[in-house]
Amino acid sequence: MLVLSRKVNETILIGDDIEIVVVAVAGDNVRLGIKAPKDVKILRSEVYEDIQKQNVEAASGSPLHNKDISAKLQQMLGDRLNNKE
Amino acid sequence: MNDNENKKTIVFPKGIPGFEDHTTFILEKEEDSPIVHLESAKDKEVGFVLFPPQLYFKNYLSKIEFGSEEVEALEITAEDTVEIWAIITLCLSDISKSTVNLRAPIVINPRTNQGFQFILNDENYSSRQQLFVDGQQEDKDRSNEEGAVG
Repeated sequence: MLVLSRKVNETILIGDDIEIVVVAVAGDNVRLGIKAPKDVKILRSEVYEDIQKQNVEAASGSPLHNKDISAKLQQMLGDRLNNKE
Repeated sequence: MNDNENKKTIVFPKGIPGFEDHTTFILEKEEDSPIVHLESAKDKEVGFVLFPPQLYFKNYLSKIEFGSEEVEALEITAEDTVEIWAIITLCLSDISKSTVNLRAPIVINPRTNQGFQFILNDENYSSRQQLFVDGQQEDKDRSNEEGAVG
Protein backbone atom coordinates (compact mmCIF):
# COMPACT_ATOMS: atom_id res chain seq x y z
CA MET A 1 0.00 0.00 0.00
CA LEU A 2 1.25 3.45 -0.87
CA VAL A 3 1.29 5.69 2.20
CA LEU A 4 1.50 9.48 1.81
CA SER A 5 1.54 12.31 4.33
CA ARG A 6 -0.66 15.31 3.53
CA LYS A 7 -1.56 18.54 5.29
CA VAL A 8 -4.96 20.20 5.28
CA ASN A 9 -5.88 21.51 1.82
CA GLU A 10 -3.21 19.39 0.15
CA THR A 11 -4.37 16.99 -2.52
CA ILE A 12 -3.66 13.61 -4.03
CA LEU A 13 -4.33 12.80 -7.67
CA ILE A 14 -5.34 9.30 -8.74
CA GLY A 15 -5.19 8.76 -12.46
CA ASP A 16 -6.25 11.66 -14.64
CA ASP A 17 -9.58 12.55 -13.15
CA ILE A 18 -9.74 11.70 -9.45
CA GLU A 19 -8.61 14.24 -6.89
CA ILE A 20 -8.70 13.81 -3.12
CA VAL A 21 -8.24 16.77 -0.82
CA VAL A 22 -7.79 16.75 2.95
CA VAL A 23 -10.46 19.23 4.02
CA ALA A 24 -10.02 19.15 7.77
CA VAL A 25 -8.39 17.17 10.54
CA ALA A 26 -9.89 17.21 14.01
CA GLY A 27 -8.53 14.70 16.50
CA ASP A 28 -8.81 11.26 14.92
CA ASN A 29 -11.36 12.51 12.39
CA VAL A 30 -10.14 13.27 8.88
CA ARG A 31 -12.50 14.99 6.48
CA LEU A 32 -11.81 14.27 2.82
CA GLY A 33 -13.16 15.85 -0.33
CA ILE A 34 -13.24 13.69 -3.45
CA LYS A 35 -13.57 14.95 -7.00
CA ALA A 36 -14.26 12.11 -9.39
CA PRO A 37 -16.32 11.38 -12.51
CA LYS A 38 -19.94 10.52 -11.72
CA ASP A 39 -19.57 6.91 -12.81
CA VAL A 40 -16.90 6.19 -10.19
CA LYS A 41 -18.43 4.45 -7.22
CA ILE A 42 -17.32 6.00 -3.93
CA LEU A 43 -18.52 4.33 -0.75
CA ARG A 44 -17.43 4.27 2.81
CA SER A 45 -16.53 0.58 3.11
CA GLU A 46 -18.91 0.09 6.02
CA VAL A 47 -21.79 1.00 3.69
CA TYR A 48 -21.17 -2.09 1.56
CA GLU A 49 -20.92 -4.19 4.72
CA ASP A 50 -24.17 -2.67 5.99
CA ILE A 51 -25.95 -3.60 2.74
CA GLN A 52 -24.59 -7.15 2.95
CA LYS A 53 -25.82 -7.46 6.51
CA GLN A 54 -29.18 -5.94 5.66
CA ASN A 55 -29.61 -8.37 2.74
CA VAL A 56 -28.80 -11.38 4.91
CA GLU A 57 -31.31 -10.18 7.50
CA ALA A 58 -33.97 -9.51 4.84
CA ALA A 59 -33.47 -12.92 3.25
CA SER A 60 -33.62 -14.79 6.54
CA GLY A 61 -36.82 -13.07 7.64
CA SER A 62 -38.73 -13.54 4.41
CA PRO A 63 -40.90 -16.62 4.26
CA LEU A 64 -41.96 -16.03 0.66
CA HIS A 65 -44.72 -18.55 0.54
CA ASN A 66 -46.43 -17.82 3.83
CA LYS A 67 -49.90 -16.69 2.77
CA ASP A 68 -50.78 -15.20 6.18
CA ILE A 69 -47.75 -12.94 6.26
CA SER A 70 -48.23 -11.96 2.61
CA ALA A 71 -51.85 -11.05 3.23
CA LYS A 72 -51.01 -9.06 6.36
CA LEU A 73 -48.23 -7.14 4.64
CA GLN A 74 -50.40 -6.48 1.61
CA GLN A 75 -53.20 -5.15 3.80
CA MET A 76 -50.86 -2.87 5.73
CA LEU A 77 -49.29 -1.52 2.56
CA GLY A 78 -52.75 -0.83 1.18
CA ASP A 79 -53.86 0.90 4.38
CA ARG A 80 -50.79 3.10 4.43
CA LEU A 81 -51.32 4.05 0.81
CA ASN A 82 -54.97 4.91 1.39
CA ASN A 83 -54.06 7.01 4.42
CA LYS A 84 -51.68 9.07 2.32
CA GLU A 85 -54.27 10.02 -0.24
CA MET B 1 -42.48 -23.65 -14.22
CA ASN B 2 -41.50 -21.69 -17.29
CA ASP B 3 -41.39 -17.95 -17.33
CA ASN B 4 -44.72 -16.24 -17.83
CA GLU B 5 -46.28 -12.86 -17.19
CA ASN B 6 -46.03 -13.24 -13.41
CA LYS B 7 -42.76 -15.13 -13.20
CA LYS B 8 -39.48 -14.15 -14.78
CA THR B 9 -35.90 -15.28 -14.50
CA ILE B 10 -33.57 -12.40 -13.71
CA VAL B 11 -29.79 -12.69 -13.89
CA PHE B 12 -27.72 -10.65 -11.45
CA PRO B 13 -24.28 -10.84 -13.07
CA LYS B 14 -22.61 -9.56 -9.89
CA GLY B 15 -24.86 -11.37 -7.44
CA ILE B 16 -26.32 -9.44 -4.52
CA PRO B 17 -24.16 -8.20 -1.60
CA GLY B 18 -24.17 -10.95 1.01
CA PHE B 19 -25.15 -13.47 -1.70
CA GLU B 20 -22.43 -12.86 -4.25
CA ASP B 21 -22.56 -16.44 -5.54
CA HIS B 22 -26.29 -16.29 -6.31
CA THR B 23 -26.67 -14.88 -9.80
CA THR B 24 -29.96 -16.30 -11.03
CA PHE B 25 -33.19 -15.30 -9.34
CA ILE B 26 -36.88 -15.87 -10.01
CA LEU B 27 -38.96 -12.70 -9.84
CA GLU B 28 -42.56 -13.55 -9.08
CA LYS B 29 -45.45 -11.13 -8.75
CA GLU B 30 -47.91 -11.66 -5.93
CA GLU B 31 -51.50 -11.67 -7.08
CA ASP B 32 -53.38 -8.36 -6.60
CA SER B 33 -50.44 -6.86 -4.76
CA PRO B 34 -47.61 -4.41 -5.39
CA ILE B 35 -45.27 -6.96 -3.79
CA VAL B 36 -42.94 -9.22 -5.74
CA HIS B 37 -40.70 -12.02 -4.57
CA LEU B 38 -37.12 -12.48 -5.64
CA GLU B 39 -35.97 -16.02 -4.99
CA SER B 40 -32.58 -17.54 -5.69
CA ALA B 41 -32.88 -20.22 -8.37
CA LYS B 42 -30.37 -22.43 -6.62
CA ASP B 43 -31.54 -21.99 -3.02
CA LYS B 44 -35.16 -21.42 -2.12
CA GLU B 45 -34.06 -20.31 1.35
CA VAL B 46 -32.58 -17.17 -0.20
CA GLY B 47 -35.51 -14.95 -1.00
CA PHE B 48 -36.48 -11.31 -0.77
CA VAL B 49 -39.74 -9.43 -0.56
CA LEU B 50 -39.62 -6.39 -2.84
CA PHE B 51 -41.95 -3.49 -3.31
CA PRO B 52 -42.02 -0.46 -5.61
CA PRO B 53 -40.63 2.33 -3.39
CA GLN B 54 -42.01 5.13 -5.53
CA LEU B 55 -45.47 4.10 -4.38
CA TYR B 56 -44.76 5.65 -0.96
CA PHE B 57 -41.70 7.75 -1.49
CA LYS B 58 -42.92 9.85 -4.39
CA ASN B 59 -39.70 11.63 -5.27
CA TYR B 60 -37.47 8.64 -4.70
CA LEU B 61 -34.85 8.42 -7.45
CA SER B 62 -36.76 10.71 -9.76
CA LYS B 63 -33.34 11.44 -11.26
CA ILE B 64 -31.25 8.32 -11.17
CA GLU B 65 -27.73 8.42 -12.56
CA PHE B 66 -26.08 5.12 -13.22
CA GLY B 67 -22.36 4.56 -13.12
CA SER B 68 -20.45 2.35 -15.53
CA GLU B 69 -20.81 -0.63 -13.17
CA GLU B 70 -24.61 -0.49 -13.31
CA VAL B 71 -24.73 0.20 -17.04
CA GLU B 72 -22.49 -2.79 -17.67
CA ALA B 73 -24.32 -5.17 -15.31
CA LEU B 74 -27.75 -4.25 -16.70
CA GLU B 75 -26.72 -3.60 -20.31
CA ILE B 76 -28.63 -0.33 -20.17
CA THR B 77 -29.09 1.59 -23.39
CA ALA B 78 -30.66 5.02 -23.82
CA GLU B 79 -33.97 3.42 -24.80
CA ASP B 80 -34.31 1.27 -21.68
CA THR B 81 -36.68 2.08 -18.84
CA VAL B 82 -35.54 0.25 -15.74
CA GLU B 83 -37.66 -1.06 -12.88
CA ILE B 84 -36.80 0.11 -9.37
CA TRP B 85 -37.56 -2.16 -6.43
CA ALA B 86 -36.69 -1.96 -2.74
CA ILE B 87 -36.04 -4.87 -0.41
CA ILE B 88 -38.33 -5.11 2.61
CA THR B 89 -36.83 -6.46 5.82
CA LEU B 90 -39.82 -8.03 7.49
CA CYS B 91 -40.12 -7.88 11.25
CA LEU B 92 -42.09 -11.08 11.77
CA SER B 93 -42.97 -10.41 15.41
CA ASP B 94 -44.49 -7.05 14.47
CA ILE B 95 -44.94 -6.36 10.78
CA SER B 96 -45.52 -2.66 11.45
CA LYS B 97 -41.84 -2.46 12.42
CA SER B 98 -40.70 -3.74 9.03
CA THR B 99 -38.17 -1.62 7.20
CA VAL B 100 -37.26 -1.01 3.59
CA ASN B 101 -33.81 -0.58 2.10
CA LEU B 102 -33.80 2.71 0.18
CA ARG B 103 -30.01 2.95 0.19
CA ALA B 104 -29.59 -0.01 -2.13
CA PRO B 105 -32.50 -0.47 -4.53
CA ILE B 106 -32.78 -3.47 -6.82
CA VAL B 107 -32.70 -2.22 -10.40
CA ILE B 108 -33.95 -4.48 -13.18
CA ASN B 109 -33.66 -3.96 -16.90
CA PRO B 110 -36.82 -5.66 -18.22
CA ARG B 111 -35.44 -5.80 -21.74
CA THR B 112 -32.42 -7.91 -20.82
CA ASN B 113 -33.89 -9.45 -17.64
CA GLN B 114 -30.77 -8.47 -15.79
CA GLY B 115 -30.63 -7.08 -12.29
CA PHE B 116 -28.27 -5.22 -10.02
CA GLN B 117 -28.37 -3.94 -6.46
CA PHE B 118 -27.40 -0.31 -6.77
CA ILE B 119 -25.79 1.13 -3.62
CA LEU B 120 -26.50 4.85 -3.73
CA ASN B 121 -23.87 7.41 -2.77
CA ASP B 122 -26.58 9.55 -1.18
CA GLU B 123 -26.27 9.24 2.59
CA ASN B 124 -29.78 10.62 3.06
CA TYR B 125 -31.26 7.27 2.07
CA SER B 126 -31.44 4.68 4.81
CA SER B 127 -31.00 0.95 4.45
CA ARG B 128 -33.52 0.64 7.29
CA GLN B 129 -36.25 3.12 6.43
CA GLN B 130 -39.37 2.49 8.50
CA LEU B 131 -42.11 1.36 6.17
CA PHE B 132 -45.17 2.02 8.27
CA VAL B 133 -43.98 4.76 10.61
CA ASP B 134 -43.02 8.13 9.19
CA GLY B 135 -43.47 11.84 9.72
CA GLN B 136 -47.18 11.48 9.14
CA GLN B 137 -47.77 10.09 12.57
CA GLU B 138 -51.16 11.84 12.80
CA ASP B 139 -52.48 9.90 9.86
CA LYS B 140 -51.40 6.67 11.43
CA ASP B 141 -52.99 7.52 14.77
CA ARG B 142 -56.26 8.34 13.09
CA SER B 143 -56.28 5.08 11.16
CA ASN B 144 -55.67 3.19 14.39
CA GLU B 145 -58.78 4.72 15.89
CA GLU B 146 -60.78 3.60 12.92
CA GLY B 147 -59.36 0.13 13.30
CA ALA B 148 -57.91 0.17 9.79
CA VAL B 149 -54.49 -0.95 10.95
CA GLY B 150 -53.64 -3.94 13.08
